[in-house]
Amino acid sequence: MSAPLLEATGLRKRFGPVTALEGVDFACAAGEVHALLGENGAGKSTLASLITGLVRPDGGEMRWRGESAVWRSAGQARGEGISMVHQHFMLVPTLSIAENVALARRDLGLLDRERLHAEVRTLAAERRVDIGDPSRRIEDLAVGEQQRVEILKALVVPPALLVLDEPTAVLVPSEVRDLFSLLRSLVDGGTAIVIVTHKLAEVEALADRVTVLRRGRLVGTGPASDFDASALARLMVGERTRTSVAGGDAAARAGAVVLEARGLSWTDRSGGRRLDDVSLAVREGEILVVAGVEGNGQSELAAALAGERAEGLEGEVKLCGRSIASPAEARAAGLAVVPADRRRDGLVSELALWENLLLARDRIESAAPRGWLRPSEQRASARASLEEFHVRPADPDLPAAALSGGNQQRLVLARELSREGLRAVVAATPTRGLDLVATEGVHDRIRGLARGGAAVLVFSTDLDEVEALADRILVLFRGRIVVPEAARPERAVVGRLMAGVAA
Amino acid sequence: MSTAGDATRAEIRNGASFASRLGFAAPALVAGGLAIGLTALFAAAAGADPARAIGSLLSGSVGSGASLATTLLRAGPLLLTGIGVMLAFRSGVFNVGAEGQLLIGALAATAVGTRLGAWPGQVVLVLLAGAVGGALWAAIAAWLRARRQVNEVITTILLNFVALYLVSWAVAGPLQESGRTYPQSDPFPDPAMLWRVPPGTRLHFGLVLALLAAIGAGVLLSRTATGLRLRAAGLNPAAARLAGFPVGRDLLLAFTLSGALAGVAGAIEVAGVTGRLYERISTGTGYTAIAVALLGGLRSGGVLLAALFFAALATGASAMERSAGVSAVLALAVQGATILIVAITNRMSWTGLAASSGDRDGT
Repeated sequence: MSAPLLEATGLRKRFGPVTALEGVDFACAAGEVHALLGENGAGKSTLASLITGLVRPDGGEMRWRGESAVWRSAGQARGEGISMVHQHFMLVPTLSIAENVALARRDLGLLDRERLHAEVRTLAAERRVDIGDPSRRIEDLAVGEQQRVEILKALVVPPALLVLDEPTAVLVPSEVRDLFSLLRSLVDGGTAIVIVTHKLAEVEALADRVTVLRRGRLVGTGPASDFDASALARLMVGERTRTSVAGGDAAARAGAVVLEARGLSWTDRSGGRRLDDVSLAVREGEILVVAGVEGNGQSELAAALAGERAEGLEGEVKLCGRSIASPAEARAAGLAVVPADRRRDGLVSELALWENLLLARDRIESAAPRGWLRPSEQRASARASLEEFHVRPADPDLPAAALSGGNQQRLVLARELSREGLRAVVAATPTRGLDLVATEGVHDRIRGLARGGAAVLVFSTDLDEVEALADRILVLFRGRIVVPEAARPERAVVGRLMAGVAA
Repeated sequence: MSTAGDATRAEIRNGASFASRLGFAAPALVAGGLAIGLTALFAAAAGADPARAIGSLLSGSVGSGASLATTLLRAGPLLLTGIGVMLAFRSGVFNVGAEGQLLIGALAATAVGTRLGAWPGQVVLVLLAGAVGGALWAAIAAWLRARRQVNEVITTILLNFVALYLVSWAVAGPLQESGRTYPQSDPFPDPAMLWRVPPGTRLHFGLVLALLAAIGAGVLLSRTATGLRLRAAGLNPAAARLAGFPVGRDLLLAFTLSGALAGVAGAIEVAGVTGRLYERISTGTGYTAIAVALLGGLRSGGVLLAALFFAALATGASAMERSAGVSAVLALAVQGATILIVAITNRMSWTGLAASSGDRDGT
């Protein structure tokens, strides 16, 4: 590696009680693609934010072109030649391509449309970014085209370092190929590129160097040729850290099919196939774990199983033999749901904890059989429930917004997992944000529910959790179900399937 | 001003304590103080004697039995519509059509009051007609939102104009007085008029109804399962849907209930004060109701105080014009400035809260 353009040592970043990065070293050089690899929550986005000045580090040192550098803002970093292409595009959908580019470079003539279009066309040609007719509106473009506009914006002033956060997350394969050849030509022109990803195939296709993070720590770095896919997969998901005994006795108790999905397919508005003919069945007393890296269709599948009928959803969800067409029907049939995005789907932040504990149809009906809430009784039973699930502080009158992320998760679990007459559970990453002890507690409870006869489906991105819970494992990759050969395949096999490497 | 913000914050932190409930009176009380100060300032700027202007503002709004009665009569429809707007806003329904719903309520009440003869107990049906009229008018926008995803801000505003012209047409057409001289309806017969409460005053039973509506709406929202569902849907529709709540049905309920309250406001105006329908039966009551609801912090007690405050300001302003020579338009300026200041201070405390509880789960 030539003299590094950017060199960071011992970077540390905490968000409240959560350590996002601890003692991470990172370096990248001109004319190189450096892949930043890791699971969800490994700290790669945080590292990217530190490099580009979006967030300031709590510790460690950064050197830029050999000199000590502290970015006070993203604007300052951009002035020094560091540009970023975000995962979520920062485009104005109702404006044209040219106008969006002009927003990134204020000296482009905005009022004279003809001149603006000509300038943007020239700019696109110089930077070799194919954007087509610059007068088209962003909302009419395919996602891949939108991304090229975003990249062109980042290249208005040619950066020395370009950081891309999960650039392929929303792209179809042909768009990915176009993106890679564009990135290659930039690198050949001497730009340094950092690409944040969790896809092993991209590392092999594109990267010169690779850095792997796991749980905020550096677990591997070096030339990409030094690592093969399974070595990277092992680094990403970690070695076995504990020897928890898992289910396995489910075969003895598994009964009739309770929760069933048949041929679920869904295509999002920009044409991305998010679910592709997904079928699965969960039996009474069984824990099925659907493993997968986030963004491969988990949230879409979880929503469909919870009864949500997104526009254009094909296929059928059945609960206890009945077809389900709404969350209300799913609830009535005895389904508990732990949504992946608890803040958005699981809680009302402004409402008190005791009120949040009633946010399920059957709960509110049994708490207020004649329609009258009895707040003092509800507070008392809420307090008991909060204490049982170790929600801190266990004050039923606090608004949910006052709780930390982990405690919000416990609050949702307290509501969903302690219900009467529960037949099936769909839990998306139920232990995210919880510490080890709390995680064990939730796992025990989930096993208990299964022993009690509930059909349990857990979405998980964590191999430890997959192993600890699963009677049976499926993998979700790019919206498709991959069925491993064994019911409980080896850890490394699951890891490779999750990363899209054929087992 | 910081009292208002802090009170809001306190309420949010300890949902149910008695002190924090009283805290919701703070914005209206602060507004009262502000209004007096601003009136002095504006009056001085307009070249009048500030002390005299304030004196006549106060005595003209609450200083005598007659002025107090006028204030209360104005406050009734403001309270009903304000409570209606509160119910809608708390349920995530941006019903800004209280004006139109009030007008249709008045129209329906007048049809029953003046076109169906005169019989004992008629007033009950007059009130019902008002409620049903307002509810049906709101139901148009509710249906469009629930079934066709049409934004209710647009539909309710447009329906306000339709209602206004419907009333204009009716008082010159089917509901016009028998003499066919002026664009107004026949006077209401005695049994169609609201009972005087207390007897011998101008005050009427509609004010009692308004008070009951305020209490009822507060109880509905905070003490019933339906209320919790409505609030949940208002704050986070995604979570409410996933909870299995009948979100669409609840939306219709909140919307039509809100319209019914505005319709009753129209009915008590014609059957309690004017005794007939004419074009300018509402002087923007349904629009002021939005300010009333927001200034009242979307809580019943606060809305009650805000309705009284706005009514007193309007009544006092005409008195001020008569005795201190300050234009009543000034009252509108005071009203606007007060709302603005209270809105800004409230807003600030809300964003402060949002920032303090921001996402901490990022990687």
